[in-house]
Amino acid sequence: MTHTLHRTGDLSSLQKDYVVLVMSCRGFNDAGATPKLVEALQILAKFDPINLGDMKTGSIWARDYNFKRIMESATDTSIFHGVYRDIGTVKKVVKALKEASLGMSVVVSGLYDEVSAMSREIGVKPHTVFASIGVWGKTKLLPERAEVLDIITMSGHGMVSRYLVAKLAKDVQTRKISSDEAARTMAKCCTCGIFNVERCKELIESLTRNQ
Amino acid sequence: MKTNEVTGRVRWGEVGLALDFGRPGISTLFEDIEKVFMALAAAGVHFEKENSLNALFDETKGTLKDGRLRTVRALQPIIECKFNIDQLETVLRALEDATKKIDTVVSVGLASRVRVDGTIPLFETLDRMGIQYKPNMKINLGLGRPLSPERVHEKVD
Repeated sequence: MTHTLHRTGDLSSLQKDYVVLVMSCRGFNDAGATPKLVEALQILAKFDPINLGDMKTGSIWARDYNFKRIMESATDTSIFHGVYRDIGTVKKVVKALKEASLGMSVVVSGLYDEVSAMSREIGVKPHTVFASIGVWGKTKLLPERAEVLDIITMSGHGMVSRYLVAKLAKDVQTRKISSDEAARTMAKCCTCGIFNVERCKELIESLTRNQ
Repeated sequence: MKTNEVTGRVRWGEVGLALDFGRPGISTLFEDIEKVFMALAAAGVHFEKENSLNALFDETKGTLKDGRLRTVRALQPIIECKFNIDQLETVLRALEDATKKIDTVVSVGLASRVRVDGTIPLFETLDRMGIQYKPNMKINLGLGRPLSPERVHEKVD
């Protein structure tokens, strides 16, 4: 599964986009994993994520910001995500997860150089990387505006349509809704909780400014 | 890849390849997946057994087991396979040729182990080939337990 890979954007924008994932491994360590995953979820929540969710049961945006419901729905195979705006916060999250010694897999999606340096500082050694070498094939089918691509690739399962982005950007431009409302509407479409609402708001503002 | 420290699926000297067809937001016909699947089969990759899409194909020829699927459209099905790092150039050249013949897009991802010093053998090969990779990646921090047996006797390179 590659849901947090292939996020596009320039460096300054990607520096404000980190996803931390915690999960068990089916058939290896999932039996009885629920309390460990709940503890991991509490750690993710402690550091003020801008999005948080379970791939299986929904995000805080899709569930009216009801964190308790997400926690109560946890199972042995829940896949929890927290989204953060800076590497410093990610460092605190990973350090807390390491110290909790839960034995669950932890994956950080973000700039490799920053994540690698942060890991070394807290005595964690990255094991495997998954890198994007881009989009191949008939790329003329892709949206022309970089901001649209940057927004839709934040929902790796393709739950945010380019046409919804265009419609909401138009609503923002005509002052029917704010950029914040547009970003929240899109975040609700992403069940996993990996959509970076703050980054989306910035991208929508850039899109409407330059349209 | 997300649990590779536990499963040991992508090992030292191997490269994992994931192809998200029709992503982002375009979708794909199965006939386009078949064109690429055939190219990968000819290049000698090992298709991932746990992947449900792979089960629809003859892994030796790369053809669909049921030809009626060719006109079926899906949002973003994923081919997953792996191969030895020595085959990287052959596989990517085959992929490059095949993706010129399809009527959609493919998001291409490569997985590799990380050396203890944080360097990554895969990137050295990509640099030699002149293929650019994105600076943002998915990074498995190796905190899952129990570790796969290979990890216990890990090689530096």
